[in-house]
Amino acid sequence: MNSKATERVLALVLFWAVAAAITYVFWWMGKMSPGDTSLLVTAPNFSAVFAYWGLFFTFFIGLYLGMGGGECFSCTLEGEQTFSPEVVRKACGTAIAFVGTAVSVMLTTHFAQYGLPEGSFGLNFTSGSQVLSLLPLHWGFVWLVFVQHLKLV
Amino acid sequence: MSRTAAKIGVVGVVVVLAAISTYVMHLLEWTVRGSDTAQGLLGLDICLWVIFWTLCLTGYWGLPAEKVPMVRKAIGTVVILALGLAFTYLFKAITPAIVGGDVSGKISEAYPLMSLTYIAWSLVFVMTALWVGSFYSKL
Repeated sequence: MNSKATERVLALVLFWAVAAAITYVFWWMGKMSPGDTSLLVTAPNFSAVFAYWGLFFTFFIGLYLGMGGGECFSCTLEGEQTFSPEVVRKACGTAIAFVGTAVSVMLTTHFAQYGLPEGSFGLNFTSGSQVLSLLPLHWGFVWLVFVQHLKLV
Repeated sequence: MSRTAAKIGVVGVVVVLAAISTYVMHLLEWTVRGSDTAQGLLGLDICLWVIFWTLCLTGYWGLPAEKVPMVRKAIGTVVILALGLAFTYLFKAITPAIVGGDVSGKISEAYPLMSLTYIAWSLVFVMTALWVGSFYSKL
């Protein structure tokens, strides 16, 4: 297998390894809450959570960062300048997207009433909070598309 | 046909395909229907099918465009949807061994997110096709 093919296979493995790790983290977080079984990653939603996170990292690492043969990121890494303007630009875009995602998740979980009594705020881990495992990636998509297509950096 | 008319046409096709897809999910009883537990999932279903067909037609097919290899792209789309279906059933089968629980029985009751899961895997394969297409345009 040539080096390009190897890089692409490794990139694909990376997308799904990260997706599996995040799914496991949410499963473990759910396990920490009261009860015997995980409330965040359950039998009916496990496949969807894993697939959506895999989708997110295919978009983020593969198409936004260009890992595995995309147009720019890996070629700049092969160049003499490790911190070329392209790498710095992608790093800034990633930072903006991650901060935007964190703030968006905090705001939406604060003001949404997932499984809580009328008039109260925040997430209730014991009832109806399974959406937490899908919320960050949806906001992540929004912010990455925002950064990429509005060309913020 | 002007460029604007072509774009409006693509949007129209996306909406029609999303409506057909949602209706098929409804016929198969893969959606959570009209109950207190539905939590607006039908809306999410429609939204995700719109995203899927938008990515498929504008990203994978490259519409609107002058020349599109119709047969190749049509076969690719069928392969994407078939792979999505295969992985949906594969993960439905292996899920109890990974996270426990029971998903046997009627899909609308024991596996209420079947539709969202199928769209998830279909989106995975259309996104992977876009990624592969970024370095191998003949896909």
